Amino acid sequence: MASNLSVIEKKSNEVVVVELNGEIDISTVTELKDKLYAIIEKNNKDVRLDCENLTYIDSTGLGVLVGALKKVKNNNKDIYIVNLRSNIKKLFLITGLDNVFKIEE
Amino acid sequence: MEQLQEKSNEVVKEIDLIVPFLPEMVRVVRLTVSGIASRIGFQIDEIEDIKVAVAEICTRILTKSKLNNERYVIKFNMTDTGLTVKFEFENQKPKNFELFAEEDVLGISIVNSLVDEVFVNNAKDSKEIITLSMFLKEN
Repeated sequence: MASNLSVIEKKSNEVVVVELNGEIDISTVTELKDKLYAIIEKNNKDVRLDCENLTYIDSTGLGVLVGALKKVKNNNKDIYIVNLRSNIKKLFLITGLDNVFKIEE
Repeated sequence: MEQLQEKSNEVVKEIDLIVPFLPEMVRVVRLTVSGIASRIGFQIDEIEDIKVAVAEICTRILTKSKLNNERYVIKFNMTDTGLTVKFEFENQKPKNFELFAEEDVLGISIVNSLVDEVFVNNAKDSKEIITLSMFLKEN
């Protein structure tokens, strides 16, 4: 069965940009974890998550993002989340994760 | 046609979905509940909330029960006032099953925030797991 998620790494000088496209749920969260953690371990940089084409995320996906933030913070770096859709931003607000991540409009 | 309309008013509008314990089936549940909520008359943002909450319960059931060759049942009860979604195991509730533990704080806060009523059935001898209720708002 084809995955409903793609995780695309786009390098730039200062940060590593990661595009999240599609849906993050229990069927795709392992793929997200493997790819995102690998990108973080490979690049000792701030991470910019571009969520313009992320249409759905559940608590398991949010949990992986929190785990990724811990990894990044261990290197004194940070995760910036950009272009969140309103339905997903609502979940960050409900869970209080808007105070944990740096969310940019 | 009038007879059909009368019949529609009398019938209990419940749709039962029997779902395999497969992660990829949660997406099917999301699509199904979106259609049902739309049919009842919920607004787009309310449908999104219902979809997220229902899928969150499916995810909890899958991760907490660790069953393979079994299925769970979702009963969508459509009323004039809203939607009730009841989750049950098809057979027995597994021993020591606990839908939400302390570490599931993200899932708990999402479900509690997005639906109007939550009833968790902790009875060990019951197949029932949890019931979510969402009511139509006067717009």
